[in-house]
Amino acid sequence: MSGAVKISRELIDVKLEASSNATNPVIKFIAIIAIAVYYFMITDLYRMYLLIFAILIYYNFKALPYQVAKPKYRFLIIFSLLIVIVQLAASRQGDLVFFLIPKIFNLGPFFPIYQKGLFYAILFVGRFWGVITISWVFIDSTNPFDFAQSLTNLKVPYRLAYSLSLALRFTPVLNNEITVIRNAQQTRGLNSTPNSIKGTYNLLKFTLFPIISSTLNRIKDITLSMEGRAFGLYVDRTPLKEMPLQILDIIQLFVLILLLMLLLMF
Amino acid sequence: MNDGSRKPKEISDSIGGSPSHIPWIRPDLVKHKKKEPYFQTSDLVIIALFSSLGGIFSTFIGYLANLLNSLIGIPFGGGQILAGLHIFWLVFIFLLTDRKVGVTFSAGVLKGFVEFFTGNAHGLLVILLSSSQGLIIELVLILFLSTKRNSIVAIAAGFAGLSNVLLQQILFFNSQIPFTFLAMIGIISFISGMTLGGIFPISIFFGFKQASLLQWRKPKSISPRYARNIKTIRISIIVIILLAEFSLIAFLVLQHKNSIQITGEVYNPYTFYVSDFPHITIEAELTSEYFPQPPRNYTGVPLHVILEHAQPKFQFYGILLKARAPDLYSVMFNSTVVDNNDKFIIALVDGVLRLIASEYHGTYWIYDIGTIEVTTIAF
Repeated sequence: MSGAVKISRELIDVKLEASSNATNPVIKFIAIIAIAVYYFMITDLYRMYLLIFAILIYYNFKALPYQVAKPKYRFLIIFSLLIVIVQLAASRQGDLVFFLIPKIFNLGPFFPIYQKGLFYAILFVGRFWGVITISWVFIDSTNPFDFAQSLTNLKVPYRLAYSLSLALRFTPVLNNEITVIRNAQQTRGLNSTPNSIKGTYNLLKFTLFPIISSTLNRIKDITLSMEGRAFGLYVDRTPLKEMPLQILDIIQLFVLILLLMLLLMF
Repeated sequence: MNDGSRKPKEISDSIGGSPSHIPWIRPDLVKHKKKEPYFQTSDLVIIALFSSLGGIFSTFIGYLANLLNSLIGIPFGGGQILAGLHIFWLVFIFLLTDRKVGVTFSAGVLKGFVEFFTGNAHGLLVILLSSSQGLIIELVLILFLSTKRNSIVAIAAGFAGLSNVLLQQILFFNSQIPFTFLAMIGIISFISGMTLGGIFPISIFFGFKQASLLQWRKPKSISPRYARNIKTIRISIIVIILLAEFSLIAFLVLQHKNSIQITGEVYNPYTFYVSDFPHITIEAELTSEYFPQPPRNYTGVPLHVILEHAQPKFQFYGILLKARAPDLYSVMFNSTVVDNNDKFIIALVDGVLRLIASEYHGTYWIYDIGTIEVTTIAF
C-alpha cells in the first residue's frame, strides 16, 4: 500500500469512527418528536419554560450567535404575539386579571385580560417556542445527508431515502439558479427583491416559468444519468458512509422517553 | 476479474436475471434484482427537485404573507390568501408524474423535510403541515375515486389549503376563537388552495405539456400488482373513513349536549338529563366586568338535588364542575356551600347547560358543563 493511499484510508477510518460515535440522526429525530409531543402534553408552565430557556441558552452559546439567528427570532416573536393577541381576545373565562387599557378619566377601561386567556396565551406560546427551539438544535447538530443515509440503514427503501438526499443536494443549486434569474431580471430593470409586495409578486410571477423550465431540463439530465448507471436495479446499495443503529442510541432514546414520562406524571 | 471468463447466460442465471451486458457484476455482491418499482427513476427525480424548489419558494411566499398581514393590519388571516402557493408544487408534481397515487403525500413529506433542514421558521411543524397537505389531496382523490378529473384535483387542493388553518387551530389556538372568524379564514384558504394551488398549476402544466420539455419522458403503465394494491388501499381508506364518521356521530349522540356525567366519589354515578328532574325558578344577576346581565328568572334543577341523587360517599366533599373539551374550564365549590341551597341551579340557557350561581361572580357561572366530579378535597 502506497503512502498516499494509506493516509487517505486512515482519514476515511477517522471519519467513519467520528460518525459512528455520533448519535444516529433518525434516533435524534425521534427524540425531538418525543420532546415536541411532551411540549403539547404538558400544562406545567414552569417546567415547560425551564426546558425552553435551557435549550435557548445552549443554542446561543454552542450553535449560533444571536446576530445569525436574528431573522428566526423575529418570526418567532411575531407569531408569538399573534398567539397572545388571539388567546387574550378570545378567552373570557376565569378571574379578571387586569385591563390592557386602564380607565382614563371617563373613558375605559378596555380589553379585559382574564386568567384563563393569560394562561392559554403563555401555554401556546411555550408550545410554539419549545418545538421551534428543539428543531434548531436538531438542524444545527445533524448533517441532512447522514439523516438520509441512516434511513437506508433502517431499511427504508434506498430509492426513497435517496430522493431526500437528491432534494437537499439540489436546494443550493436551485437557489443559486433563482438568484441568477433574478440578477438577470434586475439588470433589465425589474424589481424582484422580496421586501415589497410588488417585488415579491414580480419574483413569483417572472421567476416561476424560467425556473420550472430549467428544473425540467435538469430532471431530464439527472434521470438519464441515473438510469445510465442502473440506479435502483438492485435491492441494496453500498453506502459511502455507514450509519449503523447502535444499542447505545436506543438506550439514550429509551432514557429520554422515560424521563419525559416521569416529568409528565410527577 | 474472476467472473470475466464466464458466459453472460451463466451470470444472468446466477444473479437472478441481472443484465447480461454487464459482465463484471460479481454474483456474490448482488443478492437479487429489484422488481419493477412503483415510482420510476424520473418520478423520484421530479418529486425530489420540485419539492426542493417548493421549499425554496415557500420562504418567498412567507415574506409575501407577512407583508400582506402587516398591510391589512391583522396578524392572522391575510397570509392565508397565499396558502395555495404552498400547495402549487404538490399538485404540479402530481400532474408531472402522471397522477400516480401516493405522489402528493411523498412530495409533501419531502418538501417538509427540505424546508425543515433549510431552517424554516416553523421548525418541526413544517413537516407536519406539508405532509398533511399532501395527505389531504390523496384522501380527497381517493374518496372521489378519480385522479383524472382536473376539477376534483382543484377541490382536493382547496381542502389541502383548508388543512393549514385547521392544523394551526388545533396546535396553537383553542375553541374560544369565534367560529365565524375561523370560517372566514377557512373559506379564504379553501379558495386560495383551489385557485393558486389547483387551477394555477393545472394551467401551467398544460402550457408545459405542449412544449418539448416533457416529451422525453415516456410513462410506463402501472403493473397489475400495484393496481390491485392501490385498489385495496383505496377501499380500506374509504371503509376507515366511513367507520370513523359513524363513530364520531355515535359519540356525539351519546355525548348529548343536554346531559352531564356525574362522577367521582359517589355510590351512584349517572348521566344527568335536565328533563329528568323537577325544576325550580330563581332570580339571579350575572355580575361581570365585560358581559353583565341584569336580574332575570332562570329555571333549572338545583345542584344539591343532582348531587343527592348520585349519593356522595362523604358528608363533606368538593364539587368540581368541568366544561366540555376542548375548553376544560372548571370551577370548584365546597359541599357546605351547595347543600340545601337553591341558589345553585343547572339551567338550560340558549341550548347549553349552565350553572346559575346566584350571588356569585360571573366567572363561576360555568357554561357548557360536561361533568360534575365529586372529590374528597373539600376547601
